[in-house]
Amino acid sequence: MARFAGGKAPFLRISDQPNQGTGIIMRDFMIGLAPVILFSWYKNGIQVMIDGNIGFFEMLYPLIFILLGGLMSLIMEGITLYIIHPDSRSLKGVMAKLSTSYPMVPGLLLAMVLPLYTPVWVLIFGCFMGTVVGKMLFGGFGHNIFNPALIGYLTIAVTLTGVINAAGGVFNASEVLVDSYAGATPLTLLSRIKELDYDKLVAPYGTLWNFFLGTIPGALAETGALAILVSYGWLVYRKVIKWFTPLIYVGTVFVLSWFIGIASGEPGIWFPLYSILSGGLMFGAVFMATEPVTTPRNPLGKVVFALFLGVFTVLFRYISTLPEGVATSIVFLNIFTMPIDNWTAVIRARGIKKQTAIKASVFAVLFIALVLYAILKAGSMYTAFIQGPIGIGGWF
Amino acid sequence: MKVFFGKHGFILILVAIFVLIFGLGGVYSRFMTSELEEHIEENATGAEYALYLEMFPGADTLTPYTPGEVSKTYPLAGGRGDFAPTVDKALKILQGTSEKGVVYVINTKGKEPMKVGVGISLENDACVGIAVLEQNDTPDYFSQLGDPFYSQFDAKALSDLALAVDTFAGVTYSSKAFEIALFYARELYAADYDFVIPTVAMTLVKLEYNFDPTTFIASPYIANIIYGDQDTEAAVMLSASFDYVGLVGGGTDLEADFQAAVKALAQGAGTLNTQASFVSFDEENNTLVMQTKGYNPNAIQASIVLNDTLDIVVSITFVSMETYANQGGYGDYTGGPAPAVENNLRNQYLADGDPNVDGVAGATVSSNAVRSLLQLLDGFVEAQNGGE
Repeated sequence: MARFAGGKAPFLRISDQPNQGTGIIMRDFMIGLAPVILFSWYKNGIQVMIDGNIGFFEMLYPLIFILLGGLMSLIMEGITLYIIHPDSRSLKGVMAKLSTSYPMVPGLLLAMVLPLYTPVWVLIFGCFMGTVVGKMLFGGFGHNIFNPALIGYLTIAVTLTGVINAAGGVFNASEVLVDSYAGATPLTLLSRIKELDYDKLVAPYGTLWNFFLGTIPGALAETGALAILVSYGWLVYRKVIKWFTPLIYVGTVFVLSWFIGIASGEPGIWFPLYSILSGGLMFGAVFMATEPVTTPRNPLGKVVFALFLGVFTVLFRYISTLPEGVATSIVFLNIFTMPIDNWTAVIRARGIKKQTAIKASVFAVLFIALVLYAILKAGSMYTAFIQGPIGIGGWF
Repeated sequence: MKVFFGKHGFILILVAIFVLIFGLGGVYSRFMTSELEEHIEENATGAEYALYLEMFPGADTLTPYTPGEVSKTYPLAGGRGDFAPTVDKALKILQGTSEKGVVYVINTKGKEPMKVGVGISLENDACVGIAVLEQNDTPDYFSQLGDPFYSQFDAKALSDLALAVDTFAGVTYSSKAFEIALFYARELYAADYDFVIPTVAMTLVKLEYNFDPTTFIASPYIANIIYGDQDTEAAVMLSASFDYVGLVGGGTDLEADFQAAVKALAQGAGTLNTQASFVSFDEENNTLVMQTKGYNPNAIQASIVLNDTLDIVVSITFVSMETYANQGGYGDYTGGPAPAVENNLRNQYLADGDPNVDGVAGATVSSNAVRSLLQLLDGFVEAQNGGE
């Protein structure tokens, strides 16, 4: 029984049938990325050119940059395969391996979570860290422990943030002219002022409607909540991802943010909405927390994984000095994917019984302890609280 | 070779593509960064030019030009020596093809370097506006300069001999920066256009403090001048802003041109430290009240008890709201709260009678302010003793 605990019977072999298998999944995943890529291009390129703030070649940059990320990952994986597999040193051999390993995905995702003015060499460095170090050195697709794109992202965040800021940073040529932004994204602002004040956190960027549409400053593709939701719908429809993983992840952040707000002085329901619409949470929830290799495979494992992701994102975001928290929490929890997968598979197969109760209790106690700590600690750190607009109409 | 490329050709192509992307991508990134910097600069220039056009209703075009070379120096506020302003750029303001005015962007100095644009109308030879482009003066002070201060530049005739800026109380350093810019703009304007700066025959012989307790509040300064065709000598009393008050000992007032001239000369002299001043004198109790400007917007006030002949200081009591932290001194301030620094300097003065007391580390601004007050007090005491 334990042999089959990682999945749920019946095990249908359909991956070798026409129109099934990884090729189709990859195609659907790429289609899922398209709305977010196009939104990113529109927001940081087309719209800025319409505003009259950039020229044609600058308008193309966001799209080229993202596609370049995918291409660089593909090339690096190809070169790595050539080096480490002497038996496949031919175009045909390498292509055969590439066709089943999602080679472009790490680079594409990485480029999408980087600031617009990231120099291309920084992107290439990130692709190297993600694809070669984060993926290929672990054995390639299916063997990597960490999300490759996020390995690249975190390496860049730790070592090259100054280079990116010197090259222009996160603001596009229209946003950089808006005085009210004061050079800060919404989450950077929160980490600076430590005040849950609608007038300071939301009003400079418009309303929460702007947060939903994605017309606020942020990394290339992370701000477009609406576009991400469209992608989410497609990926769920095509069964590329499980519908509940992003929902539980975002929902946990929403509820915890709400309680943190209450513990800190009740700023209003706008704050949890601000919390889930800011930064890369939505993007990470849909495209990274659902990654098939580095996250648990069984549904209960996915639920537990998503719950803990939510808690750790809140912890990193509101208690540490990191303004974002999504990438760190996903990579951190990648470490625990296997134990979560194993334990939850057993619990799922056997139910809550004497043998599994301890495992379930460990999850529950750990989760509750972290939740309480997050609420109490963050609640004590954010001291100034001012009510947002009364009624939902004021937020949008 | 053919076999080698047949086997390894595709990987070489991959590497070549990689290198190509690396190189071209770098160029593209650099292009993006330089374009962004250019857009930001263009936008800033656009906003700056909009400010200038606002000064001249109906104007629609600006044309940069090279102004005449003018070299002048002006005394800085607080006796900090002379400063030579420079012109950053000059712009002709046009309405269609008709020239309406000129804007000089001048590098001046308040407490710190400042850049301002001075608009001058050709129609009436008057300053029609001033725009602050860069400034680094202390925000708490600079922010006190509001519309009442800036509105004096909306119609300021350059034919006014004194052309003095009404200083905003407590913001003397920054106010002086505007005055320097205005004076220098007038010089540039005279060099570029058919405009003559008015002059009056007058020499400032000496500018000193007024130590007469009966008049020093309304007239804290006395200027000794020689003026007119006949080289007439006179001693005139001046207000805290160097406005003419009257002749020492009375007599027929100076004519308006001479009054303006003495103000201009006294303002430009920069020989007096105007940081400290007299507030009141109680003759019955021999109590002198003085004030001086330190770090806090509220002045430091000192109540000084003198002996019957007014030539010995009996006691000095300070009322102060100073905060000594972050005053730019050498080392951090480690003493007690106000008026600890004031009392320290007072004790030094009372011990040896020398007003040039040592400052307290970490409280440079407050120390300088108190030292100015003690120097003025010492001058007062000496004056009562016949200078002995």
